[in-house]
Amino acid sequence: MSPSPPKEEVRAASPRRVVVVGLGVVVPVGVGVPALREAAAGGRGGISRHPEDRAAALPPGVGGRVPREALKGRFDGKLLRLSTMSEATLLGACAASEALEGAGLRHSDGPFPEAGVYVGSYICPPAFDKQAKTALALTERDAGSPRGWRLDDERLPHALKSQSAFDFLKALPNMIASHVSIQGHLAGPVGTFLGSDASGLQAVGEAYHAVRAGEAEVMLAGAAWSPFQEVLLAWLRRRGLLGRGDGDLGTASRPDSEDADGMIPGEGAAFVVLEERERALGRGARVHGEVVGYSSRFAVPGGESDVRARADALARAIPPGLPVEAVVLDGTAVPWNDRADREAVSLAFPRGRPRILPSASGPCGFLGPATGPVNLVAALADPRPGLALACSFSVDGTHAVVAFQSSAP
Amino acid sequence: MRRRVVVTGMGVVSAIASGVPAFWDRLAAGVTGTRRLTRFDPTGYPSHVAAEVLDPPPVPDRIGPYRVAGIPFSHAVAAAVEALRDAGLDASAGDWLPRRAVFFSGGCTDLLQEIVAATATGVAGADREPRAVPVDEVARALASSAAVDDLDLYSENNLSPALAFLAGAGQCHTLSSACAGGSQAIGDAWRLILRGDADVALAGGGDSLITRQMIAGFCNLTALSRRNDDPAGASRPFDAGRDGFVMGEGAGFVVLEEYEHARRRGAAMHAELAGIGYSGDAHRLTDPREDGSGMRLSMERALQAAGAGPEDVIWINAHGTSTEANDAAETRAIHLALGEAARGVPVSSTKSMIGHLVHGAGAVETVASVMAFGRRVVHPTANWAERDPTCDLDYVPGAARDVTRAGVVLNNSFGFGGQNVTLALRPAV
Repeated sequence: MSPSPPKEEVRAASPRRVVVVGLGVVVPVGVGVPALREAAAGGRGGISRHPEDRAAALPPGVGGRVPREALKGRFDGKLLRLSTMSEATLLGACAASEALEGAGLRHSDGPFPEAGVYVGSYICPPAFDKQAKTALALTERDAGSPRGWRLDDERLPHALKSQSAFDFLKALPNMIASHVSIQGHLAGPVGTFLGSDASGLQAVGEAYHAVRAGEAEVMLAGAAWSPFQEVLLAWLRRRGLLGRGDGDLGTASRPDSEDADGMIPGEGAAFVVLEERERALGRGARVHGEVVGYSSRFAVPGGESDVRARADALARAIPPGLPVEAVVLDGTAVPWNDRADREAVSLAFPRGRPRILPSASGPCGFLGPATGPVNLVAALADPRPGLALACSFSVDGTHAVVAFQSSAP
Repeated sequence: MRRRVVVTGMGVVSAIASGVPAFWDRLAAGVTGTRRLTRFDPTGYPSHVAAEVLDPPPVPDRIGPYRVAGIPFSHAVAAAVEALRDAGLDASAGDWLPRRAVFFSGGCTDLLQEIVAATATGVAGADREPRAVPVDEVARALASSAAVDDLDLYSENNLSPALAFLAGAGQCHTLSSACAGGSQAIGDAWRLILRGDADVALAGGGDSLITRQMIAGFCNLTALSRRNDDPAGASRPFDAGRDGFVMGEGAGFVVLEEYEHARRRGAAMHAELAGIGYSGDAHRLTDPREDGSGMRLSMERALQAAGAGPEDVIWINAHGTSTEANDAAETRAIHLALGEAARGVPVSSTKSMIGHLVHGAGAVETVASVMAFGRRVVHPTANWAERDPTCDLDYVPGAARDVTRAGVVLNNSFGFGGQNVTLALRPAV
């Protein structure tokens, strides 16, 4: 069922193999891998309605929220402070902690220079209420300006008093990776990938290559996202990407269904710990699977070239000679994007589509850049034979595919 | 045989000049672009100084389907266009060549205040002052506010795809590793070409955090210079009188290309990117490790990847922010990484002249680093006047210096949150 590899392939061969030795996940249906498996087995959903007084400001009024009480004690409070963490950082720190602990790699005795972290993220605007109050305090009507308003700098000293030194730090996208590196004492490569819903799998794919090339022995890789910020959701709605969110909560997020009408936003995080195979086996680590390929492609979204780019990303991720048994797609529930996904899979596998595994975006809502890593963790936690592909084909035109094999159950 | 990666194109927008030849001229002359901030009235802030681009090059309104507007966006497009032209590469828009890639490090464009102000004014009507509109009402009105569409101008959304469209690139990566981001974009592009997944990459970064919100944030962290009575002397890396960095803006790009690919098409090779080194401090969110151990590791790894040793280093283009903590830690790290050789290596800071470009810093400083091969000079550290006991290296005070031997140039970039990147460049032969 595998397509032909691209003709101009000149990728350097590497004897180093990369295995997965740790899994961590935080999603609306459960915190931790056991809870995720339990929820999947029970068909439990995680979409809820926002409180009535906030619903209109947080379109579409429903979403996949992680219960905050479930996060208590899930990260190292001695190393990380809540006052410096955004919502996405909090989710990421909890998922990373589980992954590192499962991998037996909780270092507490100083820097660990052979281990790094790559994180996928997306826009992390600062918390709205506080920033909006500051902005309003500065806003002055100005008939002489084409915009009709101006920001009054004379009021600045007063407005600035409400700002904490850490307010703006929370909004920096690289702060998830920074917190997680401090938590795990990870002193190898540290990086943050942005720009699209594919950035989570880009982080996993580049981490795979960092280990493969010998730049690190261990890489923590994944993504975290919390989209429940007023400006961000308004922007997604204006782009026509959000669903209506009406009707039954259990079917509010309907990726790849005929009546899908857009994203239902969800928040979550997932990390895998990648390790050079011989090193992992040598220390007796539990191996969940192996990453065997990665590719990333771009095209302007929505056209024929976009479908070809998605199909090409699929083809390039597959190691020669290995048949693909299963594919898991993000499933945005945006009709044109889901349609392009289906067309790309058909184009890449003309002799028959592999099995399509369900995406977490159904029960959890669309998790942005964390969707791909969550699906990867879910597939590795529920092992099945053969090669599988985790795919993030984003509405922004950037696409990433990670090829992996689960260890035998 | 290992693939090699060369620089075949460069472009820059900065406070002292836009365009590589003028940029190099002014760097060599020690011209500073730090002035009293003009974009808004800074009187209420502790710091009044910035390195603004006062005469940006013109750019098109659109690139294919992407709107080009706003400062970070237009600076990046101008620098990218220059780099692609310098490399002699057609824009090939719409081709999406799979072996051509874009790596861009972008910041966090700060538009929230403008979006709130516009939305509040829109819903206030004639009877209310915009600032009297409750926050909840503004929040509910956002979905019908056209001001929200400006989120399209966030770097991480449309800028990288627009650059990919411009370059005809079939791979697109956006990175955000704070002050190390521009160098990481270039380092990641190097890795992609080295491993055979691409032949050409447009790589760099751009940023402008000269906004009320960001200047306030960095002031609250006490990270910015308060030398308001001497704006031209405010950025003084490694000097005893340094008191913080100066916010800059602009963008820089290089075109990286696989050596044989460049040779076959007869492209001019400005330098070889011979190695990269990455490390993390895993220490604190805003301060580097005082012992310089994280920075040391990135330098050692870059030298190792380049197959070079301390004695091969002819110049270090330092991160050199002009903060107390960075400059002392970086000096320690250079001592640790180079040992006895450290005292004989000139160390310059480009930020002394153009301020700190944050996500764009490493990329613009890579363009500056190539001066050592293109002009055979290393630029001075402007404003260095008094030795600090914790900074005891040769910081090239006063004037540019001739390069007298062949060797490796290291370009350091160390980011908020403990992300360290060193690039090792050598002549392309």
